[in-house]
Amino acid sequence: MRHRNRFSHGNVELNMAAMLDMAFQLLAFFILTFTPSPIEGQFALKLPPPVAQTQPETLTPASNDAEAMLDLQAIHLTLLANPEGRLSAVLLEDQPLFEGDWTPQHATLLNNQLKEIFQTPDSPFHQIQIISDKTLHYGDMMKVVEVVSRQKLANGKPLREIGFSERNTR
Amino acid sequence: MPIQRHAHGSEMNLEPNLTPLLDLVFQLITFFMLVINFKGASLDLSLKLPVLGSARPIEWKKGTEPIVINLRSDGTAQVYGEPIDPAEFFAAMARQVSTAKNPDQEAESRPVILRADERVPFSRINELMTLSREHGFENFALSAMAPSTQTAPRNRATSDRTIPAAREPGGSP
Repeated sequence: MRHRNRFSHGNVELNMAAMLDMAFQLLAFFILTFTPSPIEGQFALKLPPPVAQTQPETLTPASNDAEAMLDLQAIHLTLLANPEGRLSAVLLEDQPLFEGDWTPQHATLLNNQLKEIFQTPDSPFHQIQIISDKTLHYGDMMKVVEVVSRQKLANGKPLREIGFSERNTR
Repeated sequence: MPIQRHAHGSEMNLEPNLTPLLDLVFQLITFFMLVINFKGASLDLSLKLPVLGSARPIEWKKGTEPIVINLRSDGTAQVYGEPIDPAEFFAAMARQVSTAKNPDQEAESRPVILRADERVPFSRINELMTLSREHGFENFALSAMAPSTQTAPRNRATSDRTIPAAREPGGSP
């Protein structure tokens, strides 16, 4: 109490200049290291084991080959590229789905076809195998991956098993 | 700014009041501290990622540290700005994982994020995915840029209603 009384009439002032110097240094550090990060998204996949390119119609569910069985449970989507590496055609189970440049109508068509396959009750399919030309650009491949990753299985779970393989060119 | 007058005898002491300035600087520091992103060092911002409407950031499980691989248009792979040989890199990562208490769980908790330039050919992408799978890293993510006209929260809120694929393996469904 005596202590407080001794200073009660004094004028105590903090020296702000030193603190301000430090604060400015911190500010300079944060400004210099600041890099606005872009809004980036990802498409999560669970990579299934590799499946050999086979002719599905020649296989039967009674086959003992585990690889062949996996193959039977996968939908095959083939992506063809033009000489510039752009997407030129998409085949669903070796049947041409569309040709030409990628358009929103093509995306809708692919989406509807896949939805029909995967959301059919008792559908045996639970994965997609994307077979692509070697030269296809990542940007064009991702347009197809975007549609594929929207699909849900018959049990309501999202389709995550998406396999990739290179197309054998003869 | 008020001028404080201190009379010490006949002298007048003029001092600017620094408190508001300090308040402002601290607010700026707080802002920059909140928005600082140390993970940005793993991203190669020179890459031109494809722009896709439904690309959304994935919320990984707590404690998950993804492996980010940048793939430039000339085909070179980089991790934290350093060029790597993918085969050697995945072999080293697999060795590191194998020393963990539960290697399978550890491999599962280390997703691989591939950030590739949109002009990279599929053969190079496939090579990385094959290596990743062979070394036990089955959780893979392909990066794309969200359209710049949409802000992240609005994008998430609207797209959850329109697009059924909510790709958040670690987050709540």
